[in-house]
Amino acid sequence: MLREDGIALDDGSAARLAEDHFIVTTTTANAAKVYQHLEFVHQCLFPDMDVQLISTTEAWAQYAVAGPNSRKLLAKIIDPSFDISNDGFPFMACANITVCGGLRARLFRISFSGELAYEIAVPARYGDALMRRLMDAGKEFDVVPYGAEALGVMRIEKGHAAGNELNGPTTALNLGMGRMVSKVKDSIGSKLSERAGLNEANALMLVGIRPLDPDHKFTAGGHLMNRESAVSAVHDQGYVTSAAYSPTLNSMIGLAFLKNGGNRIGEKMRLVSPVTNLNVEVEIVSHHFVDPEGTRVRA
Amino acid sequence: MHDLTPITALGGIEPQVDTVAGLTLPENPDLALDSVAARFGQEAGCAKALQDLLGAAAPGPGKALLSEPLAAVWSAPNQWMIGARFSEHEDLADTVKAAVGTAGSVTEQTDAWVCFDLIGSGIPQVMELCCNINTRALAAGDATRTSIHHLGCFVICGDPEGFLRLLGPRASAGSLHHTLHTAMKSAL
Repeated sequence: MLREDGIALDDGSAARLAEDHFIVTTTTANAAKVYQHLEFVHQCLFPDMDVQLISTTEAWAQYAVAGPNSRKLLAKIIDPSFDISNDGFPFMACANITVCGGLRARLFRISFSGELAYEIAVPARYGDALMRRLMDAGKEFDVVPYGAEALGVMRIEKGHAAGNELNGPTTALNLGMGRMVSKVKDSIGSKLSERAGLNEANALMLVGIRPLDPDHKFTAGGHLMNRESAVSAVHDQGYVTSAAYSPTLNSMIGLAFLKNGGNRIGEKMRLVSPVTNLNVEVEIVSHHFVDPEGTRVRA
Repeated sequence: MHDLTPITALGGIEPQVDTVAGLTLPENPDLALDSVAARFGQEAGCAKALQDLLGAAAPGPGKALLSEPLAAVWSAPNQWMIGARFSEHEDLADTVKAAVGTAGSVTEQTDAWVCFDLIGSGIPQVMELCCNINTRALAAGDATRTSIHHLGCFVICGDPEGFLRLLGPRASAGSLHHTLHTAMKSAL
């Protein structure tokens, strides 16, 4: 979702449950702001559009179920009349379903973790019971609950942008999503996103970084310098927005915005932060560290 | 019939009930809620459909229709919240949608809200510690939205002599309950 000036406002999802029914999700902290934005657009920009908006944030308890056995687990609680095979419920599908013998629920096949994953929602009063049922049914698959830190590592491994990357001045182009903004269909932000200043050849682009020495550590906030340059703000090439230790790759990894980053994959650079005495050599890589082909989410 | 056990907004199997002096504060999970908003150009049709469903005209601004089995409260221009006993109308959304058809958009709101009732004496003394509504001036069927403890709430007067219904955001049920209970202990 873009602002009028082409800057990214929020990232979320839009699920179409029916011809006339969409569910829109937002970054948690932006929920009220996005709702306000939608109401402004409806009331002030397009008052003749026949659309009704209401928040349902608290009405549903929603859980992500992720991993190679997520479909098998869900098959144990989703009522059998619903086909959740890969063909019957492909990546990015959504539907109203029932679970556990008839309780209304919603199923979304989306993945922030990069794994084969779903999100399942039931009315909030049944959320506790559903979670207990999932944990019980998942014992044969060694199911474990996972939290925000694990999710944070997985989404960085996958290269998914999040709040760190939607930091105020970034555009869809910076995020590597420029082609998602249609040049044919009008949308809020599309026109001003074409401003020359936002589309220069050396525009910041989202990339991945890895330390040349896998034992080297770093945090977000450091700046990227050409190895032959003096370390100073004048020579700043970009900055790191997210960093985590990847147990999959046995190395620190990070997401960064780098000038002309799309054409600098493979380049060796220096990551510095004079404030924290950080100075390590890194390689610029694709920000899709794990499963770049997306075979897991489409399994 | 599914076999999942629900919990209340305060996290219990049974609803919590607190009493201070002559005033009781029961948590009320037996409430199904749905929002209905008239579609563009369908305002009259939606209102007529609701009138047929409710047995009376849908309420206007600042009002609630206190009726059985379905009740309603005005929430915005051409928008209402419809309520009924959850134990009898868990499928309220289907009922309302069947009634309004394509004249309105209906969403289930049941578990978006926690319902606390204030029953007994001393309601104005408690509420004047909680929000800016002149509770003493409320008549049966008066309803409004306000902020209690920074939480957006519906306040619905069932009986000025001793029944007030509060709807607050479910995820903040604990905070709202704490506010109301603390106010009761302070005021009574």
